[in-house]
Amino acid sequence: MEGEKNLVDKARKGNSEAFGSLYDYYLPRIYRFVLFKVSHKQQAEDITQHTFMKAWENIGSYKPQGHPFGSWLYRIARNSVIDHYRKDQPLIDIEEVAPEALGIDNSLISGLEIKLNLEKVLRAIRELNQVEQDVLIMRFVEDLPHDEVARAVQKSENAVKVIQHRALKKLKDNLSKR
Amino acid sequence: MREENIIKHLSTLKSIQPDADFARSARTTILYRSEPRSVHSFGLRQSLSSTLSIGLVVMLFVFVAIGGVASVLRTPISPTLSGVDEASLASEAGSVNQTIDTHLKDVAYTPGDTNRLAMAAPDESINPDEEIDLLLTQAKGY
Repeated sequence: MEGEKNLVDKARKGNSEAFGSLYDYYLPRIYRFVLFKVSHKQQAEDITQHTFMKAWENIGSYKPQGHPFGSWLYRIARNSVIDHYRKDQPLIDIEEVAPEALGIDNSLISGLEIKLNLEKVLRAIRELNQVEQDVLIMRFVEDLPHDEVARAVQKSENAVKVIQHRALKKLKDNLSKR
Repeated sequence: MREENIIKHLSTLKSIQPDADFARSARTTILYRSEPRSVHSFGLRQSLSSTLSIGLVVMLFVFVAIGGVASVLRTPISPTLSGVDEASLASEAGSVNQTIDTHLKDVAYTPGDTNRLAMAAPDESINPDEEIDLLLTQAKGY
């Protein structure tokens, strides 16, 4: 993000407008990440709001250290999702995994085959473990580089590459069974 | 499905956007109904925790230096063993023994009659045979 460091510095000093700009840029990313994890629109909205609220309240303790602000946000979002599952294990209605229910633009999934494939992919992702889901979403949905994913999931870059390879293989196997 | 197709499908998920109303209302809630905790409070918390850590280390060091666990276990449950004068303890024990021996000798010299229990008979001058005769005579009288 252009001028992110400057915005973060201002936000750390309590400038709400600066944090607002960071919010506008990162909201869709964090929202998507949470949505794929919980597969429930309302819960995804609640967790996303909670993530940004925590980030804003604790921005004074954030130390940039040259890393993108997003890594910190993803980490808060991951912990918020874990907390959410710890509190109450929600039952996922399989219909909620359908692209329309998740809010995917219908114009992008015009063909029936593409729509069905997308549904299959979403369901197959849910069969992966938490860190495998995190790595696949961050790498292939959000196009984050390995080092940024590594910081967000608190693992080494090599570990992330191994997880990515394993997760893709598992996803492929899951899809071939369907 | 091939790996390239899976990645292609995953990248189409990027089109998902949060609801505009949600984005607006959440922004307002976050920015205007909450505020960041001051940097000073984080700094204060950090300095307090580091001070506490240093304090605990110093206390532990002092604790070990003055004898540690051994001194705690020694008092007050068990007596202190260091610095006991064995000679004075032995002489004290000897004097206690002597006192007990003296009392035992006193008991040995005391006449046996004084230790006897008083007999139940009210009058010691009456011979037991005479007493029986008296009782028989009284019985015949009935």
